[in-house]
Amino acid sequence: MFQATLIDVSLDPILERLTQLAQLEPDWDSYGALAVSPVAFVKACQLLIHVKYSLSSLVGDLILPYDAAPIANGSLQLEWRSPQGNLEVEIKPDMSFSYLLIKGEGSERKFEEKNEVSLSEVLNVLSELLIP
Amino acid sequence: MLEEIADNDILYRRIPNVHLYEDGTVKSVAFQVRGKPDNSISVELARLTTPQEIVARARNPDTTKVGVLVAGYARSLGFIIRHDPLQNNPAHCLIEGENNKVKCKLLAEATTILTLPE
Repeated sequence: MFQATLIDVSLDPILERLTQLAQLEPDWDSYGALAVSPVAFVKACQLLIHVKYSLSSLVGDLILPYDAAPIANGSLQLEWRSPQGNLEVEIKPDMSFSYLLIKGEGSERKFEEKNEVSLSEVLNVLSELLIP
Repeated sequence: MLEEIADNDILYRRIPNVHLYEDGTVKSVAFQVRGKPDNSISVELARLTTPQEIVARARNPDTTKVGVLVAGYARSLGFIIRHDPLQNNPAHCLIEGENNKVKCKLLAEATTILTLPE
């Protein structure tokens, strides 16, 4: 039986990665990218903490994002992968979220894109992705 | 003089390492800017430049790769591709048109990374 607890899953590595991304200088992509917004950085950290407290007891280290990346507009993107699909969540400098959910494979693949979504919507879609 | 871009033309785009997965594939965010997916994506026409020139123009050449995209694929997503030469970059082109996260993902998946000789 699965018995993960909150302390089993450390956010330190992903928070360290976000800290590294937050230190990128402007024009880090050679196309005039903005530096990562401090607001986006803080919101991303808060999202991860919410995800941990909401889901770690249910899915353990699946709460940890597969990837984190900066976006040229100062946003951050966190990506989760599970057997059910992939979820890319953009955390924007204006504190809003948007996401791309990808389910299925090949010609059966389905995309769901939503903009201006709330934290609770992000948590809901992530729950559906991570909890079989 | 403006060049016609054929469907089989190769386009290059600088891809910073932070936009690559560990397996070398490209993240969708490589095609996003300005708060929404970029409606005007800078690329370079391969037959007018070299990968080495593209990397040399990067702010951080050591952490920049060259992504390769076929023009016809971008067109198949509804984009227009036009030659937009700049004073210091005659190969510059723009991929223009309505964009979204799905298209960014598809463009990223269709982009391969060049391995440059040491």
